[in-house]
Amino acid sequence: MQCDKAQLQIIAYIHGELDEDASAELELHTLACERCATELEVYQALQRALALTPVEEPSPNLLAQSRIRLDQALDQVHSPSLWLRLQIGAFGLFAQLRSAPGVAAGLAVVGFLLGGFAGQVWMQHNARTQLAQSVQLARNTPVARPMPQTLAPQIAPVQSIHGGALENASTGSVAADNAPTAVPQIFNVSRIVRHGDTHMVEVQYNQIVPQTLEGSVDDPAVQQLLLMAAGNGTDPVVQDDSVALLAQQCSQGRYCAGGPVRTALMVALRYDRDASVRAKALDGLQPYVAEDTRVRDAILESLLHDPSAQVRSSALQMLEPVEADSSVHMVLETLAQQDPNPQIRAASAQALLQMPPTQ
Amino acid sequence: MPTATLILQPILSPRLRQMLPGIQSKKVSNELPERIEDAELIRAAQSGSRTAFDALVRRYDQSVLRLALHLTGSEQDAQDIYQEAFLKAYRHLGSFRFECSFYTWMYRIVTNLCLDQMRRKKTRREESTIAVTAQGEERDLLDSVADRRAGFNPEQELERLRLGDRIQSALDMLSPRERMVFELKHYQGLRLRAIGEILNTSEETAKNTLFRATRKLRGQLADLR
Repeated sequence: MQCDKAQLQIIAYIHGELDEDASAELELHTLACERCATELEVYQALQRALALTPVEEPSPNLLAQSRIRLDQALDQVHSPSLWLRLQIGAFGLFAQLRSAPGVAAGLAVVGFLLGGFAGQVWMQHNARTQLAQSVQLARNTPVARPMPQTLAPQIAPVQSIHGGALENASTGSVAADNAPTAVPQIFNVSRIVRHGDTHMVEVQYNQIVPQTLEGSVDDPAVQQLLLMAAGNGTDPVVQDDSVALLAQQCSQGRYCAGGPVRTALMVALRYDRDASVRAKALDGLQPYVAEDTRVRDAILESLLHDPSAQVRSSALQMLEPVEADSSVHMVLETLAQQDPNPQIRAASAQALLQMPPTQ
Repeated sequence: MPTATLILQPILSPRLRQMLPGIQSKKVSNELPERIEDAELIRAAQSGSRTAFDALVRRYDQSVLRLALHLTGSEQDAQDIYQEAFLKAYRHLGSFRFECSFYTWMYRIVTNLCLDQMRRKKTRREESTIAVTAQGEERDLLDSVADRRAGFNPEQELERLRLGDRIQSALDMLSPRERMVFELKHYQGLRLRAIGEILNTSEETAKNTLFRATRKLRGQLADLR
């Protein structure tokens, strides 16, 4: 080792940021080089001096006082629950809109325009019988499954029943005389207004309109829905299916270039409760272990923490291309000693023996 | 069947604990890893559960307060940073997308607040033995030297306090950024990769900043041998 390199490595060494092989090389060099040995001794003395004044834990009084102050401040903050519920959305709708602000803004503008137009026709009357038929159908008929080609909201815009007529407030269209073959389910009634002493009443309600999108998994709109489903913790089956599809795409090297798909898989690997979902996410991440340190870190975390021996075992096999990484080395050492599964301990020890020199 | 638990600290090597911030000295369940518990709490808090948010606060608030206290040297400032950090987290929790650990996200907020505070107050302490209490009162650390415990050596204690004073002065000579990286590395024990992630920079940049800070400290404290 040259002195220039040794001098550079001394600071990394005293901070524990040098891997074991490089540390050994540096120690060997300082045995033979007085100048570098002196330099190392100076930094080690600095570390010893700093160690004499360690960070003290905050006093229990200060911590308790801080907690009380925070509690009081949080009590005064307006509860974000309603807003957050809207953001997260039981059906994931608003998460989608949040991730596509352009679409959200577009929908808002369209809503305004159509709402204005609807206002003009709002006062038109229609057959009272149509109201009865529509509401009855809305209560009793199964949900219709239209097949739109675009991502549309799952909760339809407000509609109004006014004076006995069913009007679509978003399009202004008036229900036809013929009874519709199917009417989407009513999500809720949002407003009721009586008009004076007459028998006229205005009822505003929202509809749930389930939508279906068919297309290739390469279709960006399908991809967007799959990403949304992968992050949606409400339905494990849907989540499992979406992670499996995304992982398959990634392992084939498609649509996974450092973007949201790779991130979604890392999130699934770290947080999903289902071991089979985590295993699928792991498969999808395999091609990126060498090039992406974030992926590598996620896999190392998985090796240390995943409760499933099968997932840990799969993760272990994926590390071969990056065994020169010092973090990988450390994790393997820990696994070889601490992993509860004897096979994983043995495999880790074997990998350490066959390991090339660290970089 | 009771869940088997283990304590990470004695099992993982210090270097490994550095690599995985947020798990130091904490009891972790083998069956239900803490990161998954975190995810549950975060999702519940995102849905409006104040109880879940309070649980998250309790999980991380001691390390947040310790960091703020050590960086600012003032209980009052540390309390302010603590409060602002968790209020910010509460308001913006909806934007947390699980793309990093909650610990990293929280530390990003705290370090930004600390950096702002350090930039505002970038004046050297005239007397580092003077500490400011939460009530805003100044207290001379030397007052605490009078200790009647058996075996207590007032001279040694005074020497320790003077050394602390010198180290504090040397740390105050660093730029806020250098101070922060050194704090996270030396005092909080994080890996450079994690520090880069917290400070939104690369591991290499964090490493260069750490090297610069260490050389400066060496220059200031070269005679401490």
